[in-house]
Amino acid sequence: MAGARKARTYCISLDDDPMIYKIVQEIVQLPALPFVSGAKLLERAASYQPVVVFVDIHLGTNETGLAVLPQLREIWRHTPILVMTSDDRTELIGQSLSLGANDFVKKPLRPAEVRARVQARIFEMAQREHESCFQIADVFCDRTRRLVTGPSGKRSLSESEWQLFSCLAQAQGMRIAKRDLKGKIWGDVAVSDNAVDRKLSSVRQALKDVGGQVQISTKYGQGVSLEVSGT
Amino acid sequence: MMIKSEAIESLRGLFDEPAEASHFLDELIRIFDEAGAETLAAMHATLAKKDTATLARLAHKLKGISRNLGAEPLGNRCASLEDKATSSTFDEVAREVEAIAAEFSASSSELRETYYKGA
Repeated sequence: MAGARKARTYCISLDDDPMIYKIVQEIVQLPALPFVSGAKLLERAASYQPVVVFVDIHLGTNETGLAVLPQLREIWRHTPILVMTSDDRTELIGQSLSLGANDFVKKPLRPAEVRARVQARIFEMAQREHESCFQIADVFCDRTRRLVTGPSGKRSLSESEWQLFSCLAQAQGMRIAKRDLKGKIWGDVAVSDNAVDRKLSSVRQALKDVGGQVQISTKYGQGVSLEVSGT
Repeated sequence: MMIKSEAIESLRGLFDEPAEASHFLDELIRIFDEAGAETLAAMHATLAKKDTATLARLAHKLKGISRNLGAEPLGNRCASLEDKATSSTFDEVAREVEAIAAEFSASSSELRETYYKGA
């Protein structure tokens, strides 16, 4: 399991201009952790959980902030990332957004505009995070991260494990036949019963690891369901 | 005037207390002087190596630093060098670097004389 992330009381600024992080922290009224290299930021990103991230496009050497955007988005799925640049090329806006940024601001930074954009994006991402999570008994489930969290810890699921778990969760305790599960998850692709059993076993183990009340129940010939123990 | 006062006022507007604003501006002016001088030195070194691609990137950096504090003429000269560094003749580029050095010096003086409080 990943170590605990640092508390969310700061923002991150990736820029080789030494003034920017100072300006940014006054604008958003949060301490800013300054990084000048995208590679260095990527090395440490997983241990941070910032409120908002500012990424400059041109980073002095041959590095560009755009190159690290997809990885940063992967790490901070619910954190607003704003690209900032003094480059006038309008195509950079579309490029930044398609690589994972939530918004784009021009330099020199205009405080009122930056503050308004940051607030809007924080609200938007918080809503998205809220919508992507659901709870079954004492187990919290995060669709975006494919993460299940219970009293004993967290486990992340693979894409197909998550789909399987998600199908069972949607059925709300009703049994689903294995052939129907196969159809829902793999469609027309031929998948053996053994392969389904292995996936079910992995999800069963994950639920056991997180120590919650949710478990997978299999009844021979009838199918599979999610059960909440004690109900 | 080398410095656009609106940029300075916008930065001052981040603070309720004038003393805090002065302290902040002083800090930015010190960074402007240090980072600007460093970038200019790097530009001269790069010019000696005739590495125009790096020179364009350094001009971009100095443009950003300048515009943070409203040093528009300096920012504009840097923008022009950023655009033309790889397509102009070496002499043109060298002249432009000298013009940027002079503009930097003038901007720094104006920032020190008009806005630096030593807070």
